[in-house]
Amino acid sequence: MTGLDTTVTANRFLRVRRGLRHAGFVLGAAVLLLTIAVALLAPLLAPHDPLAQNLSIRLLPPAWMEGGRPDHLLGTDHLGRDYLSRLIYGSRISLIVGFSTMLISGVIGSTLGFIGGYFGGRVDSFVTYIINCRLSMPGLLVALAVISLVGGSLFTMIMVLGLLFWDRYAVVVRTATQQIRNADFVSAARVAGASAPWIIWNEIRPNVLHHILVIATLEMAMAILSEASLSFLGLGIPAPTPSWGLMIAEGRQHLFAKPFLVWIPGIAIFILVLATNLLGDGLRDLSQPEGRR
Amino acid sequence: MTRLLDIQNVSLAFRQRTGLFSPPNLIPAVRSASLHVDAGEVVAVVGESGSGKSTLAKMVLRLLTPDTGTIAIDGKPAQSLGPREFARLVQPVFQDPYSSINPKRTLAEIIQTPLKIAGGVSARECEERARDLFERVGLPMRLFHSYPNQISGGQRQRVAIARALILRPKLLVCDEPTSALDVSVQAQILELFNELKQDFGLTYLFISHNLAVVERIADRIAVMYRGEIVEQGATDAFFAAPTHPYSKMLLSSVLPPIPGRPLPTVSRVFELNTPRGSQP
Repeated sequence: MTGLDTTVTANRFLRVRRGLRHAGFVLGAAVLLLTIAVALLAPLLAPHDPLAQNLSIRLLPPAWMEGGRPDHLLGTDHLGRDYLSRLIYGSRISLIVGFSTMLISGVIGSTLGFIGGYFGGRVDSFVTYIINCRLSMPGLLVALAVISLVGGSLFTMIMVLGLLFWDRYAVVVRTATQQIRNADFVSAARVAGASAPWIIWNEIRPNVLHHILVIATLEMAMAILSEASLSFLGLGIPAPTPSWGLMIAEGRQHLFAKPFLVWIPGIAIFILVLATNLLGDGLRDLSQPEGRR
Repeated sequence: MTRLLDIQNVSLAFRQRTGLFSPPNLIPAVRSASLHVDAGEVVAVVGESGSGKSTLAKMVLRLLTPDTGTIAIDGKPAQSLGPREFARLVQPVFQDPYSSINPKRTLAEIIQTPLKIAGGVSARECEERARDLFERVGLPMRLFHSYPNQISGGQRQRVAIARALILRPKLLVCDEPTSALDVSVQAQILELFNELKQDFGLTYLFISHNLAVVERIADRIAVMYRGEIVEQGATDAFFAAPTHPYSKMLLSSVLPPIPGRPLPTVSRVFELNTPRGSQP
């Protein structure tokens, strides 16, 4: 080659730049990263112990309202615990539940989807049957029933949500795999002697990954909401641990006198779920058009 | 001459399910086809779409299993060969260069794939062999680490050819390898096939519906019609005097460039089988 010696490689920078132009993606990623940072640095950021009670200053309003105190920026709850500190520590629960559920359900759902989509025939009928069984169960009701039987804890909550909400992964991955398994590059790998797991992992997975990522963010938002709902109903995280859903539940009794007890954690849940959804939508947009595929 | 590929009375019918309890409809795709390919030969299978030629190719590649009949490769029944042993004997080049290479892998990775599956070769040697082939099939080295969406259809087909050659197979099964390309690129790819045949001592089973392509590359021709091989013979003899009525129809369906006049006799470019640039 004359003159043109520059190596043509995949322009990953181009993809990053395209991402930075997508407002929803940037906003979602920024908020999520910020929340993760807050959760990790909770002991440093929280001004007080989230569990320390002080009944003499119970139900203080936030600092900017009348009667608020600057050392309790978001006020205190009915036991006099600092609300900002509880909010900061509560982000840990939401994120742990969100990420763990997403991982567990992602592994179960994708595996089922890959198997059903790749092998087809009777295997696929069986996988579809399992998916249909799952879809015919009302998810949150089953979660409620199981947790009220087993008893609520962080671990059971993650397991129950993870073992329940894999249906979307399975449905989407199965369809996407069906579309790819007949591609000639899969046949070429088969002629080269590759085993089915090898083909699924090396040839099909890279082509389905963007679907999985998008569902993962949506499922994470779902899991965060489910945790809040279950905790609100008193079946999730046990009492003293700060969780946003639990904070709303405890603030409910004072809803009319001290509405901030409900809307502060409410807004926190809203923002985190919105950010994950924005991130998911952004990922979907960014993974779509990219020359010819 | 050794018989590299021997297809004996192979039949395959596709089953179409009509209902849960009714018996399936049988749609015969290949009916009792027999064909052999000697080492170093180029045998073309021609026929219209739906004549079963691709199904035949898929059976040779073991992507489909024949209902009856046997396929022997290098004297051994194809079904008795282990997957790796088989891969070192037979490799495919497919029709659609857009579906035949994985869009999410770099060209370097795509070419190395069969070698990685076969195993037993160090990563460095893998890459070295891929680089050699990359150049040999006429791709500029600066594209080595690019993705398929950055190159053209003809270049994609060259990548697919390099991938098929990395295991140094004896037989290449080419299923319409040029029909998705435009005419000038077709000629280049055909020329590449001819050069590689010399360099690597290859044998081709060449599926095509394009008689012009077949005339340029094939030593022998087999005509398929409705799943049966209705005529086979040396290329020259076939073009001079086809015997089966369908072959005659097939040949007469090629339009002459000037209406009313006969087809021009194409000087067969590949009589120049000397290595590139060595002789005038």
